[in-house]
Amino acid sequence: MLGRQCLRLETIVISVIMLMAVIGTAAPILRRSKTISDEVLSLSRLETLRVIVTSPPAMQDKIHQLDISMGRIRSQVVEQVMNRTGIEVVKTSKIDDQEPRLRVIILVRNSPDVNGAISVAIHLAIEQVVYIDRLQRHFVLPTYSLLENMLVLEKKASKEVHEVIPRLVDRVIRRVEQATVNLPAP
Amino acid sequence: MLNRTKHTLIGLLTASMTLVVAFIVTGGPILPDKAPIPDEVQSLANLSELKLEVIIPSAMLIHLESFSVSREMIRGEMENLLEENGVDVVEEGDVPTCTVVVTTNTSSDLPRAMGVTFHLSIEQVVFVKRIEKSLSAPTYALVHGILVTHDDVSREMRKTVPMLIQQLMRRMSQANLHAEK
Repeated sequence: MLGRQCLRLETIVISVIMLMAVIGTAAPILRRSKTISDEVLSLSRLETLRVIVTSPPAMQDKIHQLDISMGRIRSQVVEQVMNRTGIEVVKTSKIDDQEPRLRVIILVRNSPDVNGAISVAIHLAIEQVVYIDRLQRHFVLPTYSLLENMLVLEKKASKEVHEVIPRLVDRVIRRVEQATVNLPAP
Repeated sequence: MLNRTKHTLIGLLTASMTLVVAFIVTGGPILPDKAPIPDEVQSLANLSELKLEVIIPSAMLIHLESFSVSREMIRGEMENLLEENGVDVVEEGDVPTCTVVVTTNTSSDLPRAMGVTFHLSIEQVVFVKRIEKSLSAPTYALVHGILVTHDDVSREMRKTVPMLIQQLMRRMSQANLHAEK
Protein backbone atom coordinates (compact mmCIF):
# COMPACT_ATOMS: atom_id res chain seq x y z
CA MET A 1 0.00 0.00 0.00
CA LEU A 2 2.78 2.35 1.09
CA GLY A 3 4.82 1.20 -1.89
CA ARG A 4 1.95 2.06 -4.25
CA GLN A 5 1.68 5.55 -2.67
CA CYS A 6 5.42 6.03 -3.07
CA LEU A 7 5.14 4.95 -6.71
CA ARG A 8 2.30 7.45 -7.25
CA LEU A 9 4.34 10.23 -5.59
CA GLU A 10 7.33 9.30 -7.69
CA THR A 11 5.19 9.44 -10.85
CA ILE A 12 3.90 12.89 -9.87
CA VAL A 13 7.44 14.16 -9.15
CA ILE A 14 8.72 12.82 -12.48
CA SER A 15 5.74 14.36 -14.31
CA VAL A 16 6.37 17.74 -12.63
CA ILE A 17 10.07 17.58 -13.51
CA MET A 18 9.21 16.64 -17.11
CA LEU A 19 6.66 19.44 -17.30
CA MET A 20 9.22 21.91 -15.95
CA ALA A 21 11.73 20.70 -18.48
CA VAL A 22 9.19 21.15 -21.27
CA ILE A 23 8.37 24.66 -20.02
CA GLY A 24 12.09 25.39 -19.78
CA THR A 25 12.86 24.28 -23.29
CA ALA A 26 9.69 25.80 -24.65
CA ALA A 27 10.54 29.26 -23.29
CA PRO A 28 11.09 30.85 -26.71
CA ILE A 29 7.41 30.31 -27.63
CA LEU A 30 6.28 33.77 -28.65
CA ARG A 31 3.27 35.46 -27.22
CA ARG A 32 1.26 38.33 -28.59
CA SER A 33 2.70 41.65 -27.57
CA LYS A 34 0.82 44.90 -27.21
CA THR A 35 3.84 47.05 -27.92
CA ILE A 36 5.10 45.67 -31.21
CA SER A 37 6.24 48.38 -33.62
CA ASP A 38 4.79 48.94 -37.09
CA GLU A 39 8.21 48.26 -38.54
CA VAL A 40 8.24 44.76 -37.02
CA LEU A 41 4.58 44.10 -37.90
CA SER A 42 5.43 44.67 -41.56
CA LEU A 43 7.41 41.40 -41.46
CA SER A 44 4.39 39.28 -40.66
CA ARG A 45 3.75 36.15 -42.73
CA LEU A 46 6.77 36.45 -45.00
CA GLU A 47 6.73 33.35 -47.18
CA THR A 48 9.33 34.14 -49.79
CA LEU A 49 12.43 36.32 -49.85
CA ARG A 50 15.03 37.29 -52.38
CA VAL A 51 18.44 37.82 -50.78
CA ILE A 52 20.62 40.63 -52.12
CA VAL A 53 24.07 41.41 -50.70
CA THR A 54 25.66 44.58 -51.96
CA SER A 55 28.00 47.48 -51.25
CA PRO A 56 28.53 50.92 -52.82
CA PRO A 57 30.83 50.67 -55.89
CA ALA A 58 33.33 53.11 -54.37
CA MET A 59 33.86 50.77 -51.39
CA GLN A 60 34.14 47.49 -53.26
CA ASP A 61 37.92 47.54 -53.70
CA LYS A 62 38.47 48.16 -50.01
CA ILE A 63 35.97 45.43 -49.09
CA HIS A 64 37.80 43.03 -51.38
CA GLN A 65 41.15 44.01 -49.82
CA LEU A 66 39.70 43.30 -46.37
CA ASP A 67 38.76 39.80 -47.56
CA ILE A 68 35.08 40.36 -46.85
CA SER A 69 33.30 38.06 -49.29
CA MET A 70 29.88 39.13 -50.55
CA GLY A 71 29.31 35.62 -51.93
CA ARG A 72 30.08 34.05 -48.57
CA ILE A 73 27.79 36.51 -46.77
CA ARG A 74 24.98 35.69 -49.19
CA SER A 75 25.47 31.96 -48.64
CA GLN A 76 25.47 32.47 -44.86
CA VAL A 77 22.22 34.45 -45.03
CA VAL A 78 20.45 32.10 -47.44
CA GLU A 79 21.44 29.00 -45.47
CA GLN A 80 20.30 30.50 -42.19
CA VAL A 81 16.96 31.73 -43.54
CA MET A 82 16.24 28.36 -45.13
CA ASN A 83 17.29 26.31 -42.11
CA ARG A 84 15.61 28.39 -39.45
CA THR A 85 12.35 29.40 -41.10
CA GLY A 86 9.75 28.20 -43.52
CA ILE A 87 10.62 31.12 -45.77
CA GLU A 88 11.49 30.14 -49.32
CA VAL A 89 14.54 31.92 -50.70
CA VAL A 90 13.77 32.67 -54.32
CA LYS A 91 16.24 33.20 -57.11
CA THR A 92 15.06 35.57 -59.77
CA SER A 93 16.79 37.79 -62.24
CA LYS A 94 13.69 39.70 -63.26
CA ILE A 95 14.32 43.43 -62.81
CA ASP A 96 10.72 44.23 -62.02
CA ASP A 97 10.14 41.36 -59.66
CA GLN A 98 7.84 42.10 -56.75
CA GLU A 99 9.08 39.49 -54.28
CA PRO A 100 9.95 40.75 -50.79
CA ARG A 101 13.71 41.20 -50.49
CA LEU A 102 16.24 40.97 -47.73
CA ARG A 103 18.92 43.45 -48.69
CA VAL A 104 22.27 43.42 -46.89
CA ILE A 105 24.51 46.42 -47.50
CA ILE A 106 28.13 46.45 -46.34
CA LEU A 107 29.72 49.87 -45.83
CA VAL A 108 33.32 50.52 -44.80
CA ARG A 109 35.20 53.66 -43.87
CA ASN A 110 38.89 54.10 -43.16
CA SER A 111 40.95 57.18 -42.36
CA PRO A 112 44.61 58.09 -42.85
CA ASP A 113 44.52 59.48 -39.30
CA VAL A 114 43.69 56.11 -37.80
CA ASN A 115 46.13 53.69 -39.28
CA GLY A 116 45.10 50.04 -39.56
CA ALA A 117 41.52 50.66 -38.41
CA ILE A 118 38.27 50.28 -40.26
CA SER A 119 34.73 51.28 -39.41
CA VAL A 120 32.16 48.83 -40.77
CA ALA A 121 28.39 49.29 -40.97
CA ILE A 122 26.08 46.43 -41.92
CA HIS A 123 22.61 47.48 -42.97
CA LEU A 124 19.84 44.90 -43.32
CA ALA A 125 16.47 45.84 -44.75
CA ILE A 126 13.32 44.02 -45.75
CA GLU A 127 11.82 45.58 -48.86
CA GLN A 128 8.35 44.84 -50.19
CA VAL A 129 5.50 46.24 -52.27
CA VAL A 130 3.72 49.13 -50.57
CA TYR A 131 1.25 51.81 -51.60
CA ILE A 132 1.82 55.42 -50.55
CA ASP A 133 -1.46 57.25 -50.49
CA ARG A 134 0.33 60.61 -50.34
CA LEU A 135 1.92 59.88 -53.74
CA GLN A 136 -0.91 57.68 -55.09
CA ARG A 137 1.53 55.00 -56.23
CA HIS A 138 2.92 51.55 -55.54
CA PHE A 139 6.63 51.18 -54.75
CA VAL A 140 9.02 48.47 -53.57
CA LEU A 141 10.40 50.00 -50.38
CA PRO A 142 12.07 49.03 -47.14
CA THR A 143 9.61 48.62 -44.29
CA TYR A 144 12.07 47.25 -41.73
CA SER A 145 15.73 47.98 -41.23
CA LEU A 146 18.52 47.09 -38.87
CA LEU A 147 22.00 48.62 -38.61
CA GLU A 148 25.10 47.25 -36.91
CA ASN A 149 28.39 49.14 -36.67
CA MET A 150 31.80 48.09 -35.57
CA LEU A 151 35.25 49.59 -35.25
CA VAL A 152 37.94 46.98 -35.80
CA LEU A 153 41.51 46.45 -36.87
CA GLU A 154 41.62 45.91 -40.63
CA LYS A 155 43.21 42.50 -40.16
CA LYS A 156 40.26 41.40 -38.00
CA ALA A 157 37.51 42.91 -40.18
CA SER A 158 36.71 39.83 -42.26
CA LYS A 159 36.42 37.54 -39.23
CA GLU A 160 34.27 40.04 -37.32
CA VAL A 161 31.91 40.70 -40.23
CA HIS A 162 31.38 37.02 -41.04
CA GLU A 163 30.78 36.34 -37.33
CA VAL A 164 28.23 39.10 -36.86
CA ILE A 165 26.10 38.27 -39.92
CA PRO A 166 24.40 35.19 -38.38
CA ARG A 167 23.51 37.21 -35.25
CA LEU A 168 21.92 39.93 -37.35
CA VAL A 169 19.99 37.48 -39.51
CA ASP A 170 18.84 35.76 -36.34
CA ARG A 171 17.47 39.08 -35.07
CA VAL A 172 15.52 39.55 -38.30
CA ILE A 173 14.17 35.99 -38.16
CA ARG A 174 13.01 36.52 -34.56
CA ARG A 175 11.25 39.70 -35.63
CA VAL A 176 9.52 37.84 -38.47
CA GLU A 177 8.33 35.20 -35.99
CA GLN A 178 7.19 37.84 -33.50
CA ALA A 179 5.29 39.72 -36.22
CA THR A 180 3.60 36.57 -37.51
CA VAL A 181 2.37 35.72 -34.01
CA ASN A 182 1.04 39.24 -33.57
CA LEU A 183 -0.49 39.59 -37.00
CA PRO A 184 -1.55 36.11 -38.08
CA ALA A 185 -3.41 35.37 -41.30
CA PRO A 186 -7.07 36.45 -41.11
CA MET B 1 49.48 47.49 -95.42
CA LEU B 2 49.71 46.17 -91.89
CA ASN B 3 50.99 49.52 -90.66
CA ARG B 4 48.12 51.33 -92.38
CA THR B 5 45.53 49.08 -90.76
CA LYS B 6 47.24 49.54 -87.42
CA HIS B 7 47.18 53.33 -87.79
CA THR B 8 43.54 53.30 -88.87
CA LEU B 9 42.63 51.21 -85.85
CA ILE B 10 44.56 53.47 -83.50
CA GLY B 11 42.87 56.49 -85.10
CA LEU B 12 39.41 54.98 -84.66
CA LEU B 13 40.16 54.01 -81.09
CA THR B 14 41.41 57.50 -80.25
CA ALA B 15 38.34 59.07 -81.86
CA SER B 16 35.99 56.79 -79.89
CA MET B 17 37.83 57.51 -76.65
CA THR B 18 37.58 61.25 -77.32
CA LEU B 19 33.85 60.88 -77.93
CA VAL B 20 33.41 58.87 -74.77
CA VAL B 21 35.36 61.43 -72.72
CA ALA B 22 33.42 64.28 -74.37
CA PHE B 23 30.15 62.53 -73.55
CA ILE B 24 31.13 62.07 -69.95
CA VAL B 25 32.22 65.70 -69.61
CA THR B 26 29.35 67.31 -71.47
CA GLY B 27 26.83 64.71 -70.45
CA GLY B 28 27.73 64.83 -66.78
CA PRO B 29 25.28 67.36 -65.39
CA ILE B 30 22.35 66.34 -67.58
CA LEU B 31 20.30 63.62 -65.98
CA PRO B 32 18.92 61.45 -68.74
CA ASP B 33 15.10 61.52 -68.76
CA LYS B 34 14.83 57.79 -68.57
CA ALA B 35 17.46 57.20 -65.89
CA PRO B 36 15.89 54.87 -63.38
CA ILE B 37 15.41 56.51 -60.01
CA PRO B 38 15.19 53.99 -57.20
CA ASP B 39 11.80 53.65 -55.54
CA GLU B 40 13.44 54.57 -52.24
CA VAL B 41 14.36 57.98 -53.67
CA GLN B 42 11.02 58.45 -55.42
CA SER B 43 9.26 57.97 -52.08
CA LEU B 44 10.77 61.32 -50.98
CA ALA B 45 8.65 63.35 -53.40
CA ASN B 46 6.49 66.22 -52.12
CA LEU B 47 7.83 66.32 -48.59
CA SER B 48 7.30 69.91 -47.48
CA GLU B 49 6.87 69.13 -43.77
CA LEU B 50 8.74 66.71 -41.55
CA LYS B 51 8.94 65.82 -37.91
CA LEU B 52 12.54 65.53 -36.73
CA GLU B 53 13.89 63.14 -34.15
CA VAL B 54 17.54 62.72 -33.19
CA ILE B 55 18.31 59.63 -31.12
CA ILE B 56 21.61 58.91 -29.39
CA PRO B 57 21.67 55.92 -27.02
CA SER B 58 22.33 57.23 -23.51
CA ALA B 59 25.76 55.63 -22.90
CA MET B 60 26.97 56.94 -26.25
CA LEU B 61 25.51 60.36 -25.56
CA ILE B 62 27.51 60.65 -22.32
CA HIS B 63 30.61 59.65 -24.26
CA LEU B 64 29.91 62.21 -27.00
CA GLU B 65 29.20 64.96 -24.48
CA SER B 66 32.77 64.55 -23.23
CA PHE B 67 33.79 65.66 -26.75
CA SER B 68 31.42 68.68 -26.62
CA VAL B 69 28.81 67.08 -28.88
CA SER B 70 25.19 67.13 -27.73
CA ARG B 71 21.91 65.85 -29.11
CA GLU B 72 20.50 69.39 -29.04
CA MET B 73 23.41 70.67 -31.10
CA ILE B 74 22.87 68.05 -33.82
CA ARG B 75 19.10 68.46 -33.79
CA GLY B 76 19.32 72.28 -33.85
CA GLU B 77 21.67 72.28 -36.80
CA MET B 78 19.56 69.76 -38.72
CA GLU B 79 16.39 71.73 -38.08
CA ASN B 80 18.02 74.96 -39.33
CA LEU B 81 19.32 73.27 -42.46
CA LEU B 82 15.97 71.67 -43.25
CA GLU B 83 14.16 74.98 -42.76
CA GLU B 84 16.74 76.82 -44.93
CA ASN B 85 16.03 74.29 -47.67
CA GLY B 86 12.29 74.86 -47.53
CA VAL B 87 11.23 71.96 -45.34
CA ASP B 88 9.09 72.93 -42.34
CA VAL B 89 10.06 71.06 -39.21
CA VAL B 90 6.90 70.47 -37.20
CA GLU B 91 6.33 68.98 -33.77
CA GLU B 92 2.96 67.37 -34.36
CA GLY B 93 0.64 66.19 -37.10
CA ASP B 94 0.24 63.38 -39.52
CA VAL B 95 3.46 64.01 -41.45
CA PRO B 96 6.50 61.84 -42.23
CA THR B 97 9.34 61.78 -39.69
CA CYS B 98 13.04 62.23 -40.29
CA THR B 99 14.78 60.10 -37.67
CA VAL B 100 18.52 60.29 -37.18
CA VAL B 101 20.16 57.68 -34.97
CA VAL B 102 23.75 58.49 -34.02
CA THR B 103 25.88 55.66 -32.67
CA THR B 104 29.52 55.47 -31.70
CA ASN B 105 32.00 52.61 -31.67
CA THR B 106 35.26 52.21 -29.85
CA SER B 107 37.72 49.36 -29.62
CA SER B 108 40.31 48.40 -27.01
CA ASP B 109 42.65 47.71 -29.94
CA LEU B 110 42.31 51.35 -31.04
CA PRO B 111 42.27 53.51 -27.91
CA ARG B 112 42.49 56.89 -29.72
CA ALA B 113 39.92 56.14 -32.42
CA MET B 114 36.16 56.44 -32.65
CA GLY B 115 33.70 55.37 -35.31
CA VAL B 116 30.54 57.45 -35.53
CA THR B 117 27.58 56.36 -37.65
CA PHE B 118 24.63 58.50 -38.69
CA HIS B 119 21.57 56.51 -39.72
CA LEU B 120 19.02 58.86 -41.21
CA SER B 121 15.64 57.46 -42.16
CA ILE B 122 12.37 58.87 -43.42
CA GLU B 123 9.39 57.15 -41.90
CA GLN B 124 5.98 57.50 -43.48
CA VAL B 125 2.63 55.76 -43.63
CA VAL B 126 2.45 53.01 -46.23
CA PHE B 127 -0.10 50.35 -47.08
CA VAL B 128 1.62 46.96 -47.14
CA LYS B 129 -0.21 45.11 -49.89
CA ARG B 130 0.94 41.64 -48.79
CA ILE B 131 -0.61 41.86 -45.31
CA GLU B 132 -3.23 44.47 -46.21
CA LYS B 133 -2.30 46.83 -43.42
CA SER B 134 -1.37 50.52 -43.11
CA LEU B 135 1.82 51.02 -41.12
CA SER B 136 4.47 53.62 -40.46
CA ALA B 137 7.70 52.36 -42.02
CA PRO B 138 11.27 53.59 -42.65
CA THR B 139 11.04 53.83 -46.43
CA TYR B 140 14.30 55.69 -47.06
CA ALA B 141 17.66 55.24 -45.35
CA LEU B 142 20.93 57.09 -45.54
CA VAL B 143 23.89 55.69 -43.63
CA HIS B 144 27.07 57.67 -43.20
CA GLY B 145 30.04 56.66 -41.09
CA ILE B 146 33.14 58.56 -40.03
CA LEU B 147 36.32 57.26 -38.47
CA VAL B 148 38.15 59.85 -36.40
CA THR B 149 40.73 60.35 -33.69
CA HIS B 150 39.48 61.69 -30.37
CA ASP B 151 40.86 65.15 -31.24
CA ASP B 152 38.59 65.38 -34.29
CA VAL B 153 35.29 63.99 -33.00
CA SER B 154 33.49 67.31 -32.56
CA ARG B 155 34.86 68.95 -35.73
CA GLU B 156 34.15 65.98 -37.98
CA MET B 157 30.66 65.45 -36.58
CA ARG B 158 29.82 69.11 -37.18
CA LYS B 159 31.02 68.69 -40.78
CA THR B 160 28.93 65.56 -41.30
CA VAL B 161 25.56 67.02 -40.31
CA PRO B 162 25.32 69.49 -43.26
CA MET B 163 26.59 66.82 -45.61
CA LEU B 164 23.80 64.46 -44.59
CA ILE B 165 21.10 67.09 -45.00
CA GLN B 166 22.52 68.17 -48.39
CA GLN B 167 22.43 64.57 -49.54
CA LEU B 168 18.82 64.22 -48.38
CA MET B 169 17.90 67.48 -50.13
CA ARG B 170 19.49 66.31 -53.38
CA ARG B 171 17.47 63.12 -53.22
CA MET B 172 14.27 65.04 -52.44
CA SER B 173 14.85 67.39 -55.41
CA GLN B 174 15.50 64.41 -57.66
CA ALA B 175 12.24 62.81 -56.45
CA ASN B 176 10.28 66.04 -56.97
CA LEU B 177 11.63 66.47 -60.50
CA HIS B 178 10.74 62.90 -61.35
CA ALA B 179 7.25 63.24 -59.85
CA GLU B 180 6.55 66.38 -61.92
CA LYS B 181 7.15 64.53 -65.21
